[in-house]
Amino acid sequence: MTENGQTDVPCVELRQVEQRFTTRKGGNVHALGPLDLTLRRGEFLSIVGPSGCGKSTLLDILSGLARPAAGQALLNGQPIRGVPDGVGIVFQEDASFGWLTVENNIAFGLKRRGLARDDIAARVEHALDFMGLRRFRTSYPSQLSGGMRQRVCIARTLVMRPSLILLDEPFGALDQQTRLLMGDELLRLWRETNATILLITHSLDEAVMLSDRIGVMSARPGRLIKLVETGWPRERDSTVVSSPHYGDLLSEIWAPLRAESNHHMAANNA
Amino acid sequence: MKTGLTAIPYALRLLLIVVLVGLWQVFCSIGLLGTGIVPAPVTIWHDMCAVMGQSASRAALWLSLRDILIAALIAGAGGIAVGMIVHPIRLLRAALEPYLASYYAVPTFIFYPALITVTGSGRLPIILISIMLGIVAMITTTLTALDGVSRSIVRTARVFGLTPLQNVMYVRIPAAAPMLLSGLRLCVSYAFIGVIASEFIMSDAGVGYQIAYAYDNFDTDTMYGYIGCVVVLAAATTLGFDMIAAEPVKREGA
Ligand SMILES: Nc1ncnc2c1ncn2[C@@H]1O[C@H](COP(=O)(O)OP(=O)(O)OP(=O)(O)O)[C@@H](O)[C@H]1O
Ligand SMILES: [Mg+2]
Repeated sequence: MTENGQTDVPCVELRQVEQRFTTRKGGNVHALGPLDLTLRRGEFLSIVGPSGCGKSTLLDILSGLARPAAGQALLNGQPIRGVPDGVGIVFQEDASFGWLTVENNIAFGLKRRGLARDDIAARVEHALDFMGLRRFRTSYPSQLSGGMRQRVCIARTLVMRPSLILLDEPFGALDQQTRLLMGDELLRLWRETNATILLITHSLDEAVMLSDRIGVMSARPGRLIKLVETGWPRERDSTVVSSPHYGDLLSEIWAPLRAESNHHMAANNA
Repeated sequence: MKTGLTAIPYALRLLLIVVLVGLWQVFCSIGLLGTGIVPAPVTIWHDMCAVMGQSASRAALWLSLRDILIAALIAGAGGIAVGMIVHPIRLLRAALEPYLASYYAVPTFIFYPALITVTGSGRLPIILISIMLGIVAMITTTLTALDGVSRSIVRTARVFGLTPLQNVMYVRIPAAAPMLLSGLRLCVSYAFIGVIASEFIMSDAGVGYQIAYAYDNFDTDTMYGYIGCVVVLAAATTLGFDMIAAEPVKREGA
């Protein structure tokens, strides 16, 4: 293990991965790739990229929800077929269960896995606390704001203690302050559980603040055009924003992203 | 107060009925509505009491109600099961869709005599025809309900690695519950029609038969008594369903 807690053991390997879709009209959409990416076990990697470049598509492949049209996706050296154990995912859209209370939403996966009652209760209590949902434990999702519903989904995934956590724009519906605090919580959890995290975000600040590495994707079909190492220590939190290095990193990922976004806008207007 | 506010529509509905029945009674009393055309509410009430006072009549009502519930439950459960099985199999669904859509173009009732020739008379053909009336509505409702379950919820279920049975029990059915309940309600309505009309046409028991029998014997008092009882029963059943259905709707925040 290196000093910042990562290892060089690959957790996920993507080799020349591509994804294509057939549209309803019979057209062909080249949504992703070819893309090569290796996630080291225990690292925190963020992906930023223009809208529609295939970020969610990438997560679908990693979580086994979709098979790539070409290339190889490996988890711990094995090809990903079906949803592998130990992978948790938070989707971009609200996926809270409307018929369950907040606490039952959070306990859902634990119950299905058949954990002991005490264990479930303890984990749910802890999740309610760190997601700031204690007051809403008996509320139904329809009574919560979009941001709080998303927190329910995050909690529901994290209580399972996955070793690979895939997050698709999880803080999108949150206000800036809560975003920062949630980021700190996520970092803490990441350190405690030694999980590997892949975070997709539209917020460059968030990417720079949280990650060990940041991948920048091109416009569709998304390829990896830049991979930036932040060099933050494992013990870090949102206060890194005041480090002088922070601004450098921000401009380092903004430059290629700006070019891509321009390109993307121009293509859409053509 | 919230509970006070939500109670207002109920009070209004009740008031509406009271006013209408009151007007009807008044019109009958002052001779605006001839009692030869339609008896006054109070008269029907007496007829209903007379009917309910006889154990044979109560047995007839109970027999019909029992078979209505049996038919509705089988049509409902069967329709949900078929819908759940067909939904993920796209080709099968595409093949079935036109039949499901045109099913109600055929008056299912014409098969009742045919059913009797197969099963013999008795309760079985009555229950069968009532199931046939309702089950397709339940299948269609189930398919539509499952279409309405959001993609992210379906995907979440997959990520949690649920078995197909767990998926149905813990995700699909609860997610689709509000619509499934309205499908069940349809099954009850169809069963009411199916059972009572079949008894009417060809049978030797049940409330439909009793109504036809009274009619044939110019016994309008008994006829109206039974009709009144059926109306009250049907209304009570629907109301019961609405009360159950109100729960998930509240949660959906609709
Ligand atoms: N099932 C599908 N059928 C057809 N096209 C699809 C399908 N899923 C995604 N696409 C297309 O593939 C491309 C990539 O989609 P994806 O959702 O992965 O983008 P994204 O990077 O997550 O975008 P955003 O930042 O807006 O969330 C888009 O152009 C989208 O329209
Ligand atoms: Mg996306």
